[in-house]
Amino acid sequence: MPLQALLASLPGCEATLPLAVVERHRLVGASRAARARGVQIGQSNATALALLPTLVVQPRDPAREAAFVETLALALAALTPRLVLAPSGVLLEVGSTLRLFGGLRALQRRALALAQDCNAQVRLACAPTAAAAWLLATSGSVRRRVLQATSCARRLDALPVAAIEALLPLATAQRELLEALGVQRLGALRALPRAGLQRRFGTALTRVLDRAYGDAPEVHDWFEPPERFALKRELLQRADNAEVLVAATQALLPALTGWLQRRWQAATVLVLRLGHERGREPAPDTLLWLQLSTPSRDAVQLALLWRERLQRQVLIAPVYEIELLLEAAVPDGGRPGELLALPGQGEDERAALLDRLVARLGPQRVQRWQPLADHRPERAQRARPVHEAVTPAPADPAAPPRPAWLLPAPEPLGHDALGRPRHGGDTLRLCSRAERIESGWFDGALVRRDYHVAEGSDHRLRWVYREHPAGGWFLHGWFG
Amino acid sequence: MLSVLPAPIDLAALEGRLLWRAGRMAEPPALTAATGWAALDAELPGGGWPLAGMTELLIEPAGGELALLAPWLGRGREPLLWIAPPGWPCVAALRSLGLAVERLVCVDPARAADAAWAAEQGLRAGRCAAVLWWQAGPIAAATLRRLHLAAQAGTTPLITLRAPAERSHSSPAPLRLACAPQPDYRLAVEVFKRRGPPMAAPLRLTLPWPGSVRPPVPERHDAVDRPAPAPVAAASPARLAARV
Repeated sequence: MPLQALLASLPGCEATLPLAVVERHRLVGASRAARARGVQIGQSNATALALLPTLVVQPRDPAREAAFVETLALALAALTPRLVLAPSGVLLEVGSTLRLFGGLRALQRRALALAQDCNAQVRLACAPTAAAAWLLATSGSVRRRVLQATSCARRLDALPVAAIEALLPLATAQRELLEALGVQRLGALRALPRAGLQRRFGTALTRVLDRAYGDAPEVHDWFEPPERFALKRELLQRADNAEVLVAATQALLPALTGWLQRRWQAATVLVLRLGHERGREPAPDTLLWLQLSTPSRDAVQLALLWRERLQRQVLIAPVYEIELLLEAAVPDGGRPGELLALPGQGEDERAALLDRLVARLGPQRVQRWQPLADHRPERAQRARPVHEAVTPAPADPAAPPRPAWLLPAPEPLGHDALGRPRHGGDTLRLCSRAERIESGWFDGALVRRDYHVAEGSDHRLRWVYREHPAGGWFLHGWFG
Repeated sequence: MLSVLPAPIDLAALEGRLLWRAGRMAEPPALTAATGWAALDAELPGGGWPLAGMTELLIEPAGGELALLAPWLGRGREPLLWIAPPGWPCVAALRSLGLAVERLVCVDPARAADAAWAAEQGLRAGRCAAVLWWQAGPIAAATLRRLHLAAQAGTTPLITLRAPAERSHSSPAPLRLACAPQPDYRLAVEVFKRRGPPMAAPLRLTLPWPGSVRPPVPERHDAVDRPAPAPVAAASPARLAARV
């Protein structure tokens, strides 16, 4: 557990980095790479470093572990509304949601997948009571799924007595007393005379046993997710490329989707804060915004969008910390499943496509065009972000000819001896009457132009104008 | 004694999807949509634009491609993805061509790789009526093949608009057309690659004159103070009919 909390902040280097967690000069966790080189849990710090000088040693941090468990709980909140946080795990009440997720096996698969997405390696156990599930999970027994109360009692009876310490830390004297009594298994302990047990161990032990066997009610302090979603993750190694950041962000997304599912909401605006080194020259945090055209709580889609967004970002400095914030969300009750596709169901995929394009190319490069009421061609339309709806202009049956392609800036043309426009060394032939556009006195951008359709020797039609009165010729568009 | 002789292949039974004779037009594997030009429909396998796969139009930018494609693009309500168009699409012109501006999504990528990526996204999403890509320069054959496969797998056709000089380069597109503007706002269309016999001569399509105003017969004494424009060829009856 201490190691996992640490590894969660080191995406992508579980296999290669020799890493150890130390508490009071003793190793309490070591990564696989470290164990392969002879480092063992329980060794002293100095021994481990002598064995493996490249070992990265980190002190144990209870706050980091608590944050890790909370992240896991948020992700698992997608499966049930009732969770309990434990120091090194999460308890889920799934009796009420079994049917929703298609049975216990399907639910367990889902829970494992969610834990894996959070970079957590978990051991799942399932029992009729929370205490029994906890005992089975922590005792390391092989078969960890029981459904019936009788088989659960049989399974608990077979557990070693020391397993009870997962529920009730025992004093040294009590531990010695248990050994002196000669009981090996929980079943034997429970079979001892109750009055004697209570006298020697206090009422706590019998109470814990009763709860595990389902003889006494369990009272839980249910986990309540925070009002505002903000999840911070410190990166142990500096991240200076997008891949590390993408992996770190992806590990936060299950928690976000769990939070959203718990509150029946869907995200519309997300912010990722990249914290840079606060050294001699502190760089301000980078804030990345992600705006969704349709509210979403789909982890796969969000991961894809963040990947595109992060790959576009140029980092000003290495990143040491990331924080995912939910800036805006809307209530979302989910969608009913339908056997046949209904009209309008493609809307989501269409919006997802636009989100993907915007996330990679940037909002300025994906546009719609909004018609505006203005006579000046360059002001008769405006590029809008693709998420904004566009209202079509009313149809005008007597509209004068307009080119399919407008040049963003009119291109000056030369003219020949007769005053006819020339383009690319070739005299243009005017083939329409002049269309006078004279407007803009009211906003300081006055245009007075005579527009013509002109044909070049390549037979492509151009839209040219002449400044009025008697100015130069300009090319303003192409008929395509 | 057992003798195994290969049975004679019945070519007639294979004809259709697996086999086509070069002298006849093949049945396209996917659906097609009428182009809106009867003469062009007759020259295309399946009688229209293929609704899957890549189709190549070799044409100078702004050479009449929108007028050619508009009768087909104007049908339907799905969005149109335009990648790297040669200028601002003028909404008034689109309206007169029958294209609804609210369907249009324009992408202006900085690099050709981004353009190819955007095209592939549009094709794979399967929610666009068509993806049009104006290619400024030569594109790697592997990219084109990948896009062609993406377009074949989905239901969205890809139209790539390339320079006429690309005609000598090979392309995975099963249908390639070369278009050249002609006088009087006509377009010469040659289908030079198709699953069918080679075309005898290019088609000459008369494009509709942009806007409602028809080109006037020039007058000697124009009201506007300017040198008299050069004379224009008189409008043909066919063109007048097309304009009505």
